[in-house]
Amino acid sequence: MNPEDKIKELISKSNVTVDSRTDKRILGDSLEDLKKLKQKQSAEIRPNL
Amino acid sequence: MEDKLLVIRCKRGSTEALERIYEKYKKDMLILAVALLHNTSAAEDVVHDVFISFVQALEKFRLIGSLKGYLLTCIANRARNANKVKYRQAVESNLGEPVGSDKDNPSAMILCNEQLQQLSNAMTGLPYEQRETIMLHFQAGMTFKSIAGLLGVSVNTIKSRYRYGIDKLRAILDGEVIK
Repeated sequence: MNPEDKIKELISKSNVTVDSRTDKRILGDSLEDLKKLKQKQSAEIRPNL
Repeated sequence: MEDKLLVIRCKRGSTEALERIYEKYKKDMLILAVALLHNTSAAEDVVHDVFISFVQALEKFRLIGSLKGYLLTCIANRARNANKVKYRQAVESNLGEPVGSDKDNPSAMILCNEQLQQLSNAMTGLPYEQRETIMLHFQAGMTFKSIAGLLGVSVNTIKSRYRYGIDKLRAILDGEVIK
Protein backbone atom coordinates (compact mmCIF):
# COMPACT_ATOMS: atom_id res chain seq x y z
CA MET A 1 0.00 0.00 0.00
CA ASN A 2 1.45 3.41 -0.91
CA PRO A 3 1.91 5.96 1.91
CA GLU A 4 -0.91 8.21 0.66
CA ASP A 5 -3.39 5.33 0.88
CA LYS A 6 -1.95 4.21 4.20
CA ILE A 7 -2.29 7.72 5.68
CA LYS A 8 -5.84 8.03 4.31
CA GLU A 9 -6.70 4.68 5.86
CA LEU A 10 -5.14 5.63 9.21
CA ILE A 11 -7.00 8.95 9.24
CA SER A 12 -10.31 7.33 8.35
CA LYS A 13 -9.88 4.70 11.06
CA SER A 14 -8.46 7.10 13.65
CA ASN A 15 -10.62 7.66 16.65
CA VAL A 16 -10.44 9.24 20.06
CA THR A 17 -12.31 8.46 23.21
CA VAL A 18 -12.86 11.65 25.10
CA ASP A 19 -13.13 11.60 28.85
CA SER A 20 -16.21 13.39 30.21
CA ARG A 21 -13.87 15.82 32.05
CA THR A 22 -12.47 16.93 28.70
CA ASP A 23 -15.95 17.48 27.27
CA LYS A 24 -16.93 19.32 30.42
CA ARG A 25 -13.88 21.57 30.26
CA ILE A 26 -14.16 22.45 26.56
CA LEU A 27 -17.92 22.60 26.26
CA GLY A 28 -18.48 24.04 29.74
CA ASP A 29 -16.17 27.00 29.09
CA SER A 30 -17.67 27.54 25.62
CA LEU A 31 -21.23 27.48 26.96
CA GLU A 32 -20.21 29.99 29.61
CA ASP A 33 -18.96 32.33 26.88
CA LEU A 34 -22.10 31.76 24.84
CA LYS A 35 -24.16 32.75 27.87
CA LYS A 36 -22.18 36.00 28.12
CA LEU A 37 -22.79 36.65 24.42
CA LYS A 38 -26.51 36.08 24.90
CA GLN A 39 -26.58 38.47 27.86
CA LYS A 40 -24.70 41.10 25.87
CA GLN A 41 -27.18 40.73 22.99
CA SER A 42 -30.21 41.07 25.24
CA ALA A 43 -28.68 44.14 26.91
CA GLU A 44 -28.16 45.71 23.50
CA ILE A 45 -31.75 45.22 22.36
CA ARG A 46 -33.22 46.42 25.64
CA PRO A 47 -34.83 49.86 25.20
CA ASN A 48 -32.83 52.69 26.68
CA LEU A 49 -35.21 54.27 29.19
CA MET B 1 -26.58 23.72 5.00
CA GLU B 2 -26.96 22.20 8.44
CA ASP B 3 -23.80 23.93 9.63
CA LYS B 4 -25.02 27.34 8.48
CA LEU B 5 -28.21 26.87 10.46
CA LEU B 6 -26.27 25.69 13.48
CA VAL B 7 -24.07 28.80 13.32
CA ILE B 8 -27.12 31.07 13.00
CA ARG B 9 -28.72 29.36 16.01
CA CYS B 10 -25.46 29.68 17.95
CA LYS B 11 -25.32 33.39 17.17
CA ARG B 12 -28.77 33.64 18.75
CA GLY B 13 -27.44 31.92 21.85
CA SER B 14 -28.62 28.35 21.33
CA THR B 15 -26.67 26.05 23.63
CA GLU B 16 -28.06 22.99 21.80
CA ALA B 17 -26.60 24.25 18.53
CA LEU B 18 -23.20 24.81 20.12
CA GLU B 19 -23.25 21.35 21.68
CA ARG B 20 -24.18 19.87 18.30
CA ILE B 21 -21.23 21.60 16.59
CA TYR B 22 -18.87 20.41 19.31
CA GLU B 23 -20.13 16.82 19.12
CA LYS B 24 -20.01 16.87 15.33
CA TYR B 25 -16.42 18.07 15.01
CA LYS B 26 -14.63 17.28 18.27
CA LYS B 27 -13.10 14.06 16.96
CA ASP B 28 -11.86 15.70 13.74
CA MET B 29 -10.34 18.54 15.76
CA LEU B 30 -8.68 16.22 18.28
CA ILE B 31 -7.35 13.81 15.64
CA LEU B 32 -5.71 16.68 13.76
CA ALA B 33 -4.30 18.19 16.97
CA VAL B 34 -2.95 14.83 18.19
CA ALA B 35 -1.39 14.06 14.79
CA LEU B 36 0.27 17.47 14.70
CA LEU B 37 1.41 17.67 18.31
CA HIS B 38 1.82 14.00 19.34
CA ASN B 39 0.59 14.94 22.78
CA THR B 40 -2.97 14.50 23.98
CA SER B 41 -2.85 17.18 26.71
CA ALA B 42 -1.49 19.76 24.28
CA ALA B 43 -4.11 18.63 21.73
CA GLU B 44 -6.88 19.10 24.28
CA ASP B 45 -5.62 22.60 25.10
CA VAL B 46 -5.55 23.51 21.42
CA VAL B 47 -9.12 22.26 20.85
CA HIS B 48 -10.25 24.07 24.00
CA ASP B 49 -8.71 27.37 22.88
CA VAL B 50 -10.05 27.07 19.33
CA PHE B 51 -13.58 26.32 20.48
CA ILE B 52 -13.57 29.16 23.02
CA SER B 53 -12.26 31.58 20.37
CA PHE B 54 -14.96 30.38 17.98
CA VAL B 55 -17.67 31.24 20.52
CA GLN B 56 -16.05 34.58 21.40
CA ALA B 57 -15.94 35.52 17.72
CA LEU B 58 -19.50 34.31 17.00
CA GLU B 59 -21.01 37.77 16.96
CA LYS B 60 -19.00 38.83 13.91
CA PHE B 61 -18.51 35.32 12.50
CA ARG B 62 -19.64 34.62 8.94
CA LEU B 63 -19.40 31.08 7.63
CA ILE B 64 -17.70 31.04 4.26
CA GLY B 65 -17.01 27.51 3.08
CA SER B 66 -17.25 24.57 5.43
CA LEU B 67 -17.36 24.81 9.20
CA LYS B 68 -15.15 21.74 9.47
CA GLY B 69 -12.55 23.42 7.24
CA TYR B 70 -12.71 26.58 9.33
CA LEU B 71 -12.32 24.76 12.64
CA LEU B 72 -9.50 22.54 11.36
CA THR B 73 -7.66 25.56 9.96
CA CYS B 74 -7.91 27.18 13.40
CA ILE B 75 -6.58 23.96 14.97
CA ALA B 76 -3.62 23.99 12.57
CA ASN B 77 -2.86 27.64 13.42
CA ARG B 78 -3.04 27.06 17.16
CA ALA B 79 -1.05 23.82 16.96
CA ARG B 80 1.69 25.66 15.03
CA ASN B 81 1.89 28.30 17.75
CA ALA B 82 1.85 25.65 20.49
CA ASN B 83 4.65 23.81 18.72
CA LYS B 84 6.73 27.01 18.43
CA VAL B 85 6.30 27.74 22.14
CA LYS B 86 7.22 24.17 23.11
CA TYR B 87 10.17 24.22 20.73
CA ARG B 88 11.47 27.42 22.31
CA GLN B 89 11.04 25.94 25.78
CA ALA B 90 12.79 22.74 24.70
CA VAL B 91 15.70 24.66 23.19
CA GLU B 92 16.00 26.83 26.28
CA SER B 93 16.07 23.83 28.58
CA ASN B 94 18.11 21.69 26.12
CA LEU B 95 15.51 18.95 26.07
CA GLY B 96 15.74 18.48 22.32
CA GLU B 97 12.29 17.14 21.47
CA PRO B 98 9.81 19.97 20.80
CA VAL B 99 6.64 18.27 21.96
CA GLY B 100 6.91 15.07 23.94
CA SER B 101 4.65 12.07 23.60
CA ASP B 102 2.33 11.34 26.48
CA LYS B 103 1.06 8.01 25.22
CA ASP B 104 2.15 6.32 28.44
CA ASN B 105 0.54 8.94 30.63
CA PRO B 106 -2.05 7.07 32.70
CA SER B 107 -3.92 10.28 33.49
CA ALA B 108 -4.49 11.15 29.82
CA MET B 109 -8.11 12.13 29.32
CA ILE B 110 -8.15 11.52 25.60
CA LEU B 111 -7.56 7.96 24.55
CA CYS B 112 -6.36 7.40 21.00
CA ASN B 113 -7.14 4.19 19.18
CA GLU B 114 -4.36 2.12 17.59
CA GLN B 115 -4.67 3.79 14.17
CA LEU B 116 -4.39 7.29 15.62
CA GLN B 117 -1.36 6.30 17.69
CA GLN B 118 0.24 4.79 14.59
CA LEU B 119 -0.56 7.93 12.60
CA SER B 120 0.75 10.22 15.32
CA ASN B 121 3.94 8.13 15.73
CA ALA B 122 4.59 8.14 11.98
CA MET B 123 4.00 11.90 11.80
CA THR B 124 6.58 12.63 14.51
CA GLY B 125 9.23 11.39 12.09
CA LEU B 126 8.49 14.36 9.84
CA PRO B 127 9.43 18.02 10.23
CA TYR B 128 6.45 20.00 11.50
CA GLU B 129 5.82 21.78 8.17
CA GLN B 130 5.56 18.49 6.26
CA ARG B 131 3.30 16.97 8.93
CA GLU B 132 1.04 20.01 8.78
CA THR B 133 0.82 19.96 4.98
CA ILE B 134 -0.04 16.26 4.83
CA MET B 135 -2.66 16.45 7.58
CA LEU B 136 -4.31 19.58 6.19
CA HIS B 137 -4.47 17.97 2.77
CA PHE B 138 -5.80 14.60 3.89
CA GLN B 139 -7.82 15.33 6.99
CA ALA B 140 -9.07 18.85 6.43
CA GLY B 141 -9.46 18.14 2.69
CA MET B 142 -7.63 21.34 1.75
CA THR B 143 -6.07 21.87 -1.66
CA PHE B 144 -2.37 22.73 -1.96
CA LYS B 145 -3.43 26.22 -3.02
CA SER B 146 -5.53 26.78 0.12
CA ILE B 147 -2.77 25.41 2.35
CA ALA B 148 -0.29 27.76 0.65
CA GLY B 149 -2.68 30.68 1.26
CA LEU B 150 -3.15 29.71 4.89
CA LEU B 151 0.57 29.37 5.57
CA GLY B 152 1.64 32.31 3.45
CA VAL B 153 4.02 30.32 1.27
CA SER B 154 4.02 29.40 -2.42
CA VAL B 155 2.08 26.45 -3.83
CA ASN B 156 5.40 24.96 -4.98
CA THR B 157 6.70 25.04 -1.41
CA ILE B 158 3.60 23.18 -0.25
CA LYS B 159 3.92 20.62 -3.06
CA SER B 160 7.54 20.09 -2.15
CA ARG B 161 6.73 19.71 1.59
CA TYR B 162 4.06 17.20 0.65
CA ARG B 163 6.32 15.20 -1.66
CA TYR B 164 9.23 15.04 0.82
CA GLY B 165 6.82 14.23 3.63
CA ILE B 166 5.22 11.38 1.72
CA ASP B 167 8.66 10.00 0.82
CA LYS B 168 9.69 10.02 4.48
CA LEU B 169 6.39 8.44 5.51
CA ARG B 170 6.99 5.65 3.02
CA ALA B 171 10.28 4.86 4.76
CA ILE B 172 8.73 5.17 8.23
CA LEU B 173 5.69 3.05 7.41
CA ASP B 174 7.79 0.42 5.62
CA GLY B 175 9.95 0.27 8.73
CA GLU B 176 6.88 -0.35 10.85
CA VAL B 177 5.73 -3.14 8.57
CA ILE B 178 9.13 -4.83 8.92
CA LYS B 179 8.87 -4.65 12.73
